[in-house]
Amino acid sequence: MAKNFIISILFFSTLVFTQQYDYFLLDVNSTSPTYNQNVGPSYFDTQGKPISINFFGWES
Amino acid sequence: MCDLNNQNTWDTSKAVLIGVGIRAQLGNPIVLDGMVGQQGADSPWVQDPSLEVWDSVLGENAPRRQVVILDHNRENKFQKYYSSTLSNSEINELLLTVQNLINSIPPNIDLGDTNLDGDINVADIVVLVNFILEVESYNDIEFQASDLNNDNTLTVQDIIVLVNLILGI
Repeated sequence: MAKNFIISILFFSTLVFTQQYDYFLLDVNSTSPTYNQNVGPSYFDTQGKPISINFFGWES
Repeated sequence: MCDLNNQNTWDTSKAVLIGVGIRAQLGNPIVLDGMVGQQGADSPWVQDPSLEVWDSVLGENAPRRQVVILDHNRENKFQKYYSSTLSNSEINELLLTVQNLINSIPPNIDLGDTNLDGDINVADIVVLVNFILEVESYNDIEFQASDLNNDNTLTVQDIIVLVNLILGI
């Protein structure tokens, strides 16, 4: 009984704390194949590229 | 500058590098150069002037020059801050992480393609019969492709479904 309770807690905790990220933002790189399109992780997922390496790197 | 190269470093057919900036200064090459570096020249470089994406992914007031790798479920599996150009060990760590995430992508399984050759034909019936008679062993992927009636066992019923599938009945 206690074991099932603990497993249930772990299961629902996983549901609660698993967060998915996505965005659609304008591609401003004129040499990119998706220039001037709104793109993001889910967009590239539909293009067969489900892994995204997101570099938050703007610096002045 | 964080010097990421999206060419010939990972399987670019499965993983994409996206540079995310914070200013909407379209056409200003200085802004773009700072985002990914010259070597990521064909990568999408997107702008997030409202900081909405930055805050949601990194948290508010998070330092710049961070890499976040999302897996096929778009869950954050890697996040790291880089103060300068990546060292060889940091590059290797990134590449290994990307490769491991690519390896974790579940395969596309065509129900009935028991021999996993991409086609569904009589050869799959032969393989399925061998699975059922235990002439051949099968792995998890082959089992999923072979359990056509989804009853979690391989029986003659699966053969019937497969034959009907091939005949288009």
